[in-house]
Amino acid sequence: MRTRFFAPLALLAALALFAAGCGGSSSDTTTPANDLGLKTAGELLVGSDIPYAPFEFTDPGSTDAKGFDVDLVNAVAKEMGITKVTFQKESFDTIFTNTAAGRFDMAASSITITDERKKTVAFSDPYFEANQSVMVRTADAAAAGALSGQTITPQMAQVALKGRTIGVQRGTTGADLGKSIPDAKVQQFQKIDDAFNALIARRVDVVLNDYAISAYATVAKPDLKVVAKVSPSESYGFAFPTTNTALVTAFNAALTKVKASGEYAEIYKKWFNEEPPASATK
Amino acid sequence: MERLIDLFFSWDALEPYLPSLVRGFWLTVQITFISFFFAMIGGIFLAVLRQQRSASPEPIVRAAPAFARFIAVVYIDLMRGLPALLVVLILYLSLPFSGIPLLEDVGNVTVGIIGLSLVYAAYLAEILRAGIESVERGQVEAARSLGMTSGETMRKVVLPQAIRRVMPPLMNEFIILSKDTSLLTVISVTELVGAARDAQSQTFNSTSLIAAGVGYLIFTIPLTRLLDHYIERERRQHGAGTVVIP
Repeated sequence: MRTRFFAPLALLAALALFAAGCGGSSSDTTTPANDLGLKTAGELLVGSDIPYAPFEFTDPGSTDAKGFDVDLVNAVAKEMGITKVTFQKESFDTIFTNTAAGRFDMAASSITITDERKKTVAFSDPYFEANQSVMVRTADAAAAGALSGQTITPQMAQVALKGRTIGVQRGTTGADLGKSIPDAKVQQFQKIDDAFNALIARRVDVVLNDYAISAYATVAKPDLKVVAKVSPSESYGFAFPTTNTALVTAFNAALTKVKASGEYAEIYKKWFNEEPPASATK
Repeated sequence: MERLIDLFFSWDALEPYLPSLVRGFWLTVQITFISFFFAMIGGIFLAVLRQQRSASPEPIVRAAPAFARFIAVVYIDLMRGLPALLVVLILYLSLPFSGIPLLEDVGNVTVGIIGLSLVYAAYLAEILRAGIESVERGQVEAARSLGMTSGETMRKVVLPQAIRRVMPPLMNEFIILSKDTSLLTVISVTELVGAARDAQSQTFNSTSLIAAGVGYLIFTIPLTRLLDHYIERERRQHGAGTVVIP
């Protein structure tokens, strides 16, 4: 690592952070081992990029998080004997650095497990099988031609979407897919809803995003239509700071119990109106 | 500490993204200059509109300048009262449905420039108005008595002096505008901050944000130096009080 160039700046920043951080550093040493290293004993602080319906969102006028991730984390936390779960809003493009920095105990935000992300955070066992999807305006759906109504490979997407203007959310696997498309103009948005709105406003030609979320959005936005799923599927996992292996172990044990008890299937049915695939409850 | 340095000052994490950051920097510079150019035109127009007066005793003749003033005041109040972010977002999502031929198809960078120009025209108008009002009444009277029309008086006598006096606050607005270009990330313009956040979201390393900060300083610090130099020169040549210090 070459840090010499930045050394004077680093010193300044370090001084500032040192001055700001003096107050809050005592909690690590006083936390008993059986509290799993939570920021507040018995309470789980969860970072999440809200809204990303139906996985994490709030009802109009409410600030209470709800959704598939929220129900599942609550069920697992209950299994672990944790009484209070708090969801905290966090931007998706910074959620990994802030999870790694221990700003919250874990992140639940429809996060696809990737090798790249594993370098920064630790993941729970997979809890959801997800696909990328291609979304267009309903009016243009007929013109989507070769893409329509099928599951396609990323290679097919790269051919079909060559040179198009593509809307994605910054930091997502959809953004990675978009960038792999030759000559495409990829417009990155902070929130996926901004990308949906840009599609409605004809600012972009397609939106590449996780299938379940895009499909859910089309219910409220009939102007939009998902025309294709992209295989292979990806797996969602909950993210933890790599330093807290005890929490990951305990969380995985409780997640297995929630899957085995049928509670997982219930939550799944509540949000997706169908039985979970057999692979999901193993 | 080691971790902090690694997260914010890692040359290795930054290096692959330098070309995109440089492109972002260049876009920021372009947007700043173009937006300021149009904001100046709009600002001068609004300031002059706001100065319209008629000495005529006829109410009918006095109504026209009164209406011009009213339009200018409403526009300035509106644009100064709204966050630039909101103006840009509304334009971005509404223009494709506007049915206005040229504006329907403009890209996100153009929308950003239009939005920033509209908002900053209002700020610049108020600064320019102060400059216009600071030009002594006698100058206008002298110009008129030489046979200049009121339009000529404004163009050739009042405005040149007014703009010179308010150069410091104008340059101040220019610097603020250069930083407000970062608002355009919400409409997915990959200017300096956008490019830095793209890099950050891929590497999970924040060095690109520091680099973006350095980029702004490279742009703004010479400008602030230039501003100080200008104020000093004006003081030497014309004495204190002839130039507005922001």
